[in-house]
Amino acid sequence: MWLSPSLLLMIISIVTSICLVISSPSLFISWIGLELNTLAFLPLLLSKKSKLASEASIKYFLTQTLASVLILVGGLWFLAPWGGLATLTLLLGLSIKLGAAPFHSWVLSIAEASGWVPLFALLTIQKINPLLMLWMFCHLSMPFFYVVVLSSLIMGGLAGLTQTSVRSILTFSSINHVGWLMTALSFSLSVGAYYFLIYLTTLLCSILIFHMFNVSHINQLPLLSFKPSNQMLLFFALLSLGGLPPFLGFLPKWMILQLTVSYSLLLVGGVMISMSLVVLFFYLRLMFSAFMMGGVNLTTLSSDPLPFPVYFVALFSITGGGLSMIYFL
Amino acid sequence: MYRFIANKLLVPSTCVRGLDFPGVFVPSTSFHEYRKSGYVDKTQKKTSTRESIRNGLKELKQEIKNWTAEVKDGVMMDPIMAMPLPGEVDAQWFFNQNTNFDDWVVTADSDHNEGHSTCSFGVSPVGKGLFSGNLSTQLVKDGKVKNAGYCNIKSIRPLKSFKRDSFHDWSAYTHLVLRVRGDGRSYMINLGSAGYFDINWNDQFHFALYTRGGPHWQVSKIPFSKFFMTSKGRVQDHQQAVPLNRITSFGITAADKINGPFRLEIDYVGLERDPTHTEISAYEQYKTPYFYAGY
Repeated sequence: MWLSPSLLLMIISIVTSICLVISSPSLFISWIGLELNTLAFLPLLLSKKSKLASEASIKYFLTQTLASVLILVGGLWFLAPWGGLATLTLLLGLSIKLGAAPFHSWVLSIAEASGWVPLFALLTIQKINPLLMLWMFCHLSMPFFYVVVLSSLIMGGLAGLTQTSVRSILTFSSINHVGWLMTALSFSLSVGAYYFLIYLTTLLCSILIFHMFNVSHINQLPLLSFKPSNQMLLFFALLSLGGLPPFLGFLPKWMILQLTVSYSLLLVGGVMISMSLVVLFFYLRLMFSAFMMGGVNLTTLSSDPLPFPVYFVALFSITGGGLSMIYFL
Repeated sequence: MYRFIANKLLVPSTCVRGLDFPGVFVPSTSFHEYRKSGYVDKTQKKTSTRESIRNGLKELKQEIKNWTAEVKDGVMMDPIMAMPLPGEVDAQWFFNQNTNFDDWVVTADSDHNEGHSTCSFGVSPVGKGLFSGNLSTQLVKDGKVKNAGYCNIKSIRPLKSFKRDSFHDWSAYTHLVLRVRGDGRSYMINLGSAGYFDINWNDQFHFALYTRGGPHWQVSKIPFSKFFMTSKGRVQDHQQAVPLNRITSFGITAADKINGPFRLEIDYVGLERDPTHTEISAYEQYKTPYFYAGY
C-alpha cells in the first residue's frame, strides 16, 4: 500500500518540507514548508478509507490551517513595532501545530481515527517542522512558553490515566513528551534533536508491536496469545518509552533533568519527575492487563515470530541506553 | 420548470415535504442545513431569551454536580476492573416496570402526516419492555409521499455535564446481545453513528433481526461486523466496520412492508466480548490494483 505512486509522492513531499524548514533563511519559507507538510500528510490520514478518517482529515486540516494563519500573522507582526505580541502569536500557532496542551484536543480525535502508520507519523514526523521553528523563538523565561510546557507535562500525564484505548494512551504520552521536547529545545537544538531521535526510536518499537498484533484496546492484551518473548519485548519497549533506567528512554530524560537543575528550573524539573511516574503507571497498567491472565490460551492466534526489523528496532530502543551508560560511566 | 428545479437541483426532502423553515436553498444534495432535515419537534415550546437564561441558571447547580461526579469517576475508575470477560453479557438497557420510557424516542410515519402507522413503547403484561403498534403501508394522499409504513424506537444520545454530546463507547465488545420475544415479523436494529460534520450526521449501521413467533424468548447475539452502513437510509457502496467508540444511539424499526399489528417484547439489550471473533467487516470491498482507475 505504501508503494502506491500517490502515497510515495506524499512521503517525498513530507521529507521535502522538512528539508525546506531546516534550510530556510526566512520565516515565510518556513511557513511554506509547514503548509506543504500539512497538505502532504492529509492523503496519509485518508489511507485508511473510513468515514472517521475523513472526519479526522478535515479536523486536521482546519486546525493546522488556523495555526498556520497565526504563524503567518505573528511573522508579519515582526515587521511592526509589536515584537512581544508577534512572538506570542507565533508561539501560539506553533503550540497548536504541535498539539501541546492546552491546545491538544484535536490530536486525540485524529489519533483514534487513524491507522498505526499515520499515527506514528502524526506523533513524530509531523512534529519536526514546528519544533525546528520553535527552537528559534522559545525560552523558558517567557511566561506563555512556561505555561505550555507545564500544561503539556501535567495534561499528558493525568488525562492518560482514564484512557482504555491504546492509541489514546500513546497520544497522551506523546503530549507529555512534547513538554519534555520543548524544554529540551529551550536549552539547545542538539539536546532537543537527541531527545526527539530517542523518542522516535522507542515509540517506533512499541507501535510496531501493537501494529503486528492489531491491538487497539487495553482488554485485548490478556486474551491475545502472545509468545512470552514477545510479551517481554513489548513490556521492555513500553518501559523504555516511559523512561525507566537502564533502558534507552531514560538517557535523554536524565540529560534534561540535569540541565533543568543546573539552570535552577526546579518547578519544571519537579513536575517532570512526578508526571513521569504517572506516565509510567499507565504503561505498567497496560502490561499488567497483558500478564494478568498469563498462561490462559483462549485463542490460537499470534504465535508467529515477529519480523526481523522489529527485533532490530527493539534491540536498539531497549538496550541502546545500557550500552551508552557503560560509556558514560 | 419550478418543479424540475425543486425536485432535481434543490434539497429534495425539504422542498417535497414543504416543511416550514427559513432556510437558504443551496444547490447541493450533500449539504444538510438542519440536523433533523427540517422535521420540527411540535411538542417543543418557544421560549424567550430571558426565560431560557432563567431555566439555564436553575440547572447550573445540577450540572456542576454532574461535572464533579464525572471528574471523580475519571480519577477513581480503573479500566482493568471494567474489562469484560468472555461469555459475560454487560446489559446496557433493562426493560421492566422501573424503566424510564421517556428516555426512548418513539416515532411513526403518522407523526408528520406521512402515513397511518401507530406505535407505543411501554411495559408488557409480564413486566418487560413492549414495542407494539400497527403498521400501515397506506399512502397519504398528498401527492408527495411515495412510501409509508414505519415505526421506530430510538435511545436518546448520551450527554455529559453541561449538555455536551457524548458517545456510547462499545469498543471493548464484539457482539450485541438482545433477549427478545417477537411475533415472527422482522425488525431492523439500528446503531446511530452521527459524525461531527453534517455529511456524517445521518450515518447509521443496520442489521435485520428475524424473530420467532414466541412463546419462547430468543437470545440474538449479533456481531458488530455484520452491520451494514447507510447514510440517510441509502446503503453505501463502501462498507466499513462500526465505529464502536462513537455510537450515538440504538434503535429498532418495524418497517417490513406488511400491514397489520406488530409486537416485540424486549428483556434487555447487552454487549458481549468474544475473543474468537476477529472479523472486522463482513462485507467484502472490491479494491482495484495500483495503476487502475478508481481507488
